[in-house]
Amino acid sequence: MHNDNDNANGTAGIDEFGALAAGTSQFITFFLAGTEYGIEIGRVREILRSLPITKVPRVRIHGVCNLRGEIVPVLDLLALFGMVEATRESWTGVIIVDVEGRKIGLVAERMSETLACTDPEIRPVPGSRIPTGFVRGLYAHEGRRVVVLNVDEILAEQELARLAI
Amino acid sequence: MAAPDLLPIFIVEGGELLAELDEHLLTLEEVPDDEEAVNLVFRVMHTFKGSSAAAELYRITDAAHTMEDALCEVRAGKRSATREMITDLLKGTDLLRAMLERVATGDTTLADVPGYDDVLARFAAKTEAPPAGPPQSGFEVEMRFQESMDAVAVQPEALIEELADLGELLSVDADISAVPPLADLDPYVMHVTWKVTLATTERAPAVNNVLMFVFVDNDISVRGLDRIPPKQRRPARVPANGEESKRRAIAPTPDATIRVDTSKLDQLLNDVGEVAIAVAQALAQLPRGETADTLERVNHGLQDSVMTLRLVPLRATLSPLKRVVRDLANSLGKDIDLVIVGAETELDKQLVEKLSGPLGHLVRNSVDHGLETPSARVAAGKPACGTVWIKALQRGGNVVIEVSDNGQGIDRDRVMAKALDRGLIDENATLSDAQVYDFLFHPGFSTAAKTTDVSGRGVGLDAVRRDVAGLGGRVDVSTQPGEGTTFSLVLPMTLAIVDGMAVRVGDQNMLIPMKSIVEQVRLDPERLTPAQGGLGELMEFRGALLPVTRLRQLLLVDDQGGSESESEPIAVVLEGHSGCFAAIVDGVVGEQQIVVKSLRKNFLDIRGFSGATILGDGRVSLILDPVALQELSVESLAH
Repeated sequence: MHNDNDNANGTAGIDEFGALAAGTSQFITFFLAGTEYGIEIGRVREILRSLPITKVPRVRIHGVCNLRGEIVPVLDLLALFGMVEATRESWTGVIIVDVEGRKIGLVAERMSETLACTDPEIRPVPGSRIPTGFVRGLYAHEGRRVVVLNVDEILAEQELARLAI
Repeated sequence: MAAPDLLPIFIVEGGELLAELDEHLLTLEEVPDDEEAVNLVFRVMHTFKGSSAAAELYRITDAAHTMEDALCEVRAGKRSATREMITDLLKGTDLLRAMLERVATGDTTLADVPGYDDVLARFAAKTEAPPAGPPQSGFEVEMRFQESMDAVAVQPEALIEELADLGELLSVDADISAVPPLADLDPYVMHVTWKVTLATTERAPAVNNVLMFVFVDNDISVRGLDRIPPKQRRPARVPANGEESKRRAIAPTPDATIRVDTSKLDQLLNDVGEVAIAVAQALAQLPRGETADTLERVNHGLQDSVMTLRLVPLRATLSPLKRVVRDLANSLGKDIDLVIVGAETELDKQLVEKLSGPLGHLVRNSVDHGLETPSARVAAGKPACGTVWIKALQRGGNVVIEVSDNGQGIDRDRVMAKALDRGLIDENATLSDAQVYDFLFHPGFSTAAKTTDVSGRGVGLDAVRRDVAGLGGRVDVSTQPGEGTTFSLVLPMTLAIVDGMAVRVGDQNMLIPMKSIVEQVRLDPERLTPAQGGLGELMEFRGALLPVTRLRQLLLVDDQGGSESESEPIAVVLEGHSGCFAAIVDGVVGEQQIVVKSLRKNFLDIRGFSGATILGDGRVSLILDPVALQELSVESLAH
């Protein structure tokens, strides 16, 4: 369904001057194992191209990195979802996500275009393999399908504790 | 119109004065009519009043003045510091605090402060009423015991305590003029004479009752008093050992302190941390000699000095909890004592401030849920008065703070039921005690039958755990149904700079805190013997047999760095919680000063590691936790 704010690129909510219409949110999107995921832009601290990672025993994460003096874990979302993880060689970036000062790095195979959309455009998705708490919904529009993640839930302590061996 | 440059100072100092005031008021409540306690309260109140006037916050000055007047009357003996009055005064400090907070938000007119008139009216009204003073009669008891007191095993202090139970001891004087010099002293002969002044509404028979066994053979005289002497000089009770003394002398010493902005301190700490790393790198390149040694020594000294700057005693956070307990216990009709041990234990200032939330919650939990009402306690055979303890101590590189109570404990079955109810576990799950009690920290979890204003809403314990984790610490709970519960907070002392030993485990470098290392020796296979029952190995060390932990196996480190025969394994003897043990590593790299970074802040709670550091080349290196390693080792053997 088109609304007035759609422009030719199909990015709803941004008018011809590039300004956000009211009620829209922006998401950083990236690909992982063929699926495009989106994270609310307010939660993304930065995106790093490559960085040395120190392996860490006893936890199912790729390791930790030194982010300007802070120790930040780097992990693959797929591990959290209980799915098969991406290989090291397939990453091109790490997205540093920040919730109330606590940070983790999520690996990405390929970065994608920023998404701007309104809340109603994110539809609930039934029967997904991903644990439902982690997903806000699915944005499907003109051939683009983005799984919008609920980062606050993902960064909840007990969820990450499950990665411990 | 307030004096602008004095305002920020008053806001900070005023807050501190009010905290002091609360403390002294609580002390006064324990020893009412004690001259020195009243004076302390009065002095602080007076200082506060003066400062508020200097800052031109006259509404505050007026309020303080009203309270000061009331205190004047207590000081003059016209009024007694009854529990009611203390409660009113505490409400007064709350009012002053509220006004101070208003000022901090920019409102210096302070018109329409809620409660202003009501709170202050309490003081005015009482001035007219006849003082509900101390009992109007009393007794003077003189006790002179027969010389050979061991014959009847008299205990004067027990008698004095019993007399104290009858009312209020106004004075206890010991006449030691008859005590001979030490050389001639026979400890079995009583030379001391006691004179006790007691204010009480009880009659003579009650007093005689206390003394009835000692009337015979001893020279005891009991004299009734019609008027209580107004000046009293001694405390009514001697503080027990270990209990925080209620009579800390707060003499106004000339100011030997200076205020420093914490941001300046942080910057200094940061810079010094960088220096530590830079010095480590430089030392690696300098030839050994005097210069290197001096540099190392001076650097060390610098780290130590700066480290202690940020450490402050826990007292500032712990003392206000006394008030919390008092008010809450009163409102719930419970009789509860708060005992603080180790208030002088030091912790990073930032941590101390951030602990007040979690500690407050745990204490309120104990008072609200843990401790029973007096009647329930008595019915259970416990003393009517319940106790909450806060014990703080340093253990290893951590500060441990325990909040315990001697209440009813946590009912494991109820927790299980609740977890079942919320779908967190299924029916057939068998869980250890630790796993069950862990549910308490689940968000929204509460086994309280109803939520009260205070707690029970279940938002508490998960917040406590999260807050403590954010500080790099953890919270544990242990409980005994019917006997009580203990919550333990374990926190790193500070984001410290410590001395470590870099070791190789597999293909990774890790660090071991020097203070845990007893010694390191080349691993001699001949010194190893299998332990009983095939559970692991033991190593002979200085005549003792130590349990052995092979770190590579234990920590599941991916082995990409050579097979066992290539490395020169070293046995590092470490001190754990329960004795020493030998940790086998694949090599020792060398000593290093490390700036410890917390892992827990960003969700990394990896058992076996207490933190991490950034090496000179920017890589991250993990720091081992010997106590946890010991536990892990024991657990792994059990499987």
